[in-house]
Amino acid sequence: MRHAIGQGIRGLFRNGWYTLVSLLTVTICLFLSGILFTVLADLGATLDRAARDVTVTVFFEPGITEEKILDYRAVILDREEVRDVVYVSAREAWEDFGQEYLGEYAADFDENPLADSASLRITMKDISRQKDLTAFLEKLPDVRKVNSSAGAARALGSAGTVLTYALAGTGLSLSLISLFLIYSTISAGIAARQKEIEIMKYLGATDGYIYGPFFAEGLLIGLTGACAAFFLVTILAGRTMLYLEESFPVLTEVFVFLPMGRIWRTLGPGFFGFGCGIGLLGSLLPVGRHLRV
Amino acid sequence: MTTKPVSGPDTVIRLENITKSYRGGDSIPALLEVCLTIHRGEFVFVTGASGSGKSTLIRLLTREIRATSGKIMVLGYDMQRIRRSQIALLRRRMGIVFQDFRLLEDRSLLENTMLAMKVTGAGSARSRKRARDILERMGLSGREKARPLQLSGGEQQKAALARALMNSPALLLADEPTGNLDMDSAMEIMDLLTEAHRAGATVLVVTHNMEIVEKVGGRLIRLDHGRVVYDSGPAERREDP
Ligand SMILES: Nc1ncnc2c1ncn2[C@@H]1O[C@H](COP(=O)(O)OP(=O)(O)O)[C@@H](O)[C@H]1O
Ligand SMILES: [Mg+2]
Repeated sequence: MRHAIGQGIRGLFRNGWYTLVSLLTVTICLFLSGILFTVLADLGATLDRAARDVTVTVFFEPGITEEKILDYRAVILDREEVRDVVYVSAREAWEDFGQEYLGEYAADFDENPLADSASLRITMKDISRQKDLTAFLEKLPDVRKVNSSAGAARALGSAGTVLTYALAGTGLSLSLISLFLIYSTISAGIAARQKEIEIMKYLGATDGYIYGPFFAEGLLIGLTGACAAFFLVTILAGRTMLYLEESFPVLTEVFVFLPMGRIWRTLGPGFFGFGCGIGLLGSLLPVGRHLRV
Repeated sequence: MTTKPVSGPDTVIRLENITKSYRGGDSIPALLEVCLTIHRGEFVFVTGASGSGKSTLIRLLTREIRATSGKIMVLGYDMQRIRRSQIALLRRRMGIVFQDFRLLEDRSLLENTMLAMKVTGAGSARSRKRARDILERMGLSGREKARPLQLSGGEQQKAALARALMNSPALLLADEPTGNLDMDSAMEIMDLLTEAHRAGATVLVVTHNMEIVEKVGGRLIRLDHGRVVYDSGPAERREDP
């Protein structure tokens, strides 16, 4: 074991450029995936918050009673994609409107011009199902109009989907490249030491003694790459967030920046597992090929 | 799968109808139906013209290659059925001196010698001590730091022998260990081999130098076109004067 690790470390230096290139590839792979993951996690949190702000408003036919509207409220609340339904009376609607758009002129009106504008304001748990909800609401009797922000919901939802695919695609292709490079590094190492391996075999070395160092080497490349990526992402993403929050405070109102600690709880084990996995696989394949011959 | 000894504990090597054809068996066999038994404590010379199958015999004994047909037992292992992990254990009990030395050019003489013990899992300190002892006995003490290419032919041959003796082998195999040496250097090597023999090793030496065979004595086996054409027999072993 100590032999394998010691020789593995020596192998890292013996292979020089090869080792450096595969190490950098693993680092870059994990770094990009890490950044994408961070953005995705923040976006997810942002979408979550945005979902609370995106509302569907239902207006009813003039003359409907308040009790009737409250009955509808109960029906709508029963639907699973709905988070909350708020009843907005005509008076409240007018006050809101007046404050927002008319300011002091609001006092000039004697009668409420929005007398028939009692409404239900719905917030959703899952904004991607806004269309279903709207269709359901429009079929209800007594409903005059449904106001929804279908466009915003769709845009937010698809941005998340696109980023998820981007993460999966980038991660996968970069993993394959990393794997290939570790594989080449270990293969080159075995080829360079072919004569030594041959001699050690005749001296009675076991396969473990001969090939252990190559596993250690692959594992070290994977783990070192993961550690380097860990620091890069922590430093870079952490710094960027801090900078954005300080320089553009308005951004924090639109975007949610998750604390790095929460992101690392997922990313840390992921990096570690990926580093080990790709290191072991990258050395297992060439060693296996070598053993079969 | 087990490889239990078939012959007695005194049988170190046993070949039964061994045939070896290279490249699938279309060509003329390098060894043909060879039968041979070598007992513990024997000193055996194998001789024959170039291409008669001497190296092939050594390669079969070290399990570098497998026989096409027949049965070989070496130190109790059935070479046709031996498992991969057992080959390493078998080789630790063998000392092999190759025709081309097979020393690592980028390691010192001391490191090359130590390697034989280190691959068995022994520590560096123990391996170094043992290597120094053996190199001293070979008269190579002053050259420990030299690289193989800085050594003379005789010194390289001694280095290869030193490495083969590191694990006190029960069986010592040497393929033309005096091949390119003058008579004095050759006799030095032979003296070291007889010393190892006296220390308890069974020794098999391939050579085509009959002068050496005359001088050293021991059992003589002659190969010709892959067949055993002469065997002085196991019992006849002349003691050293
Ligand atoms: N790897 C090989 N492939 C094919 N033929 C071989 C190989 N090694 C040896 N031979 C052939 O087998 C025969 C015996 O070779 P070898 O055992 O090396 O003879 P020796 O050591 O007595 O000179 C020769 O005809 C040689 O050409
Ligand atoms: Mg030969």
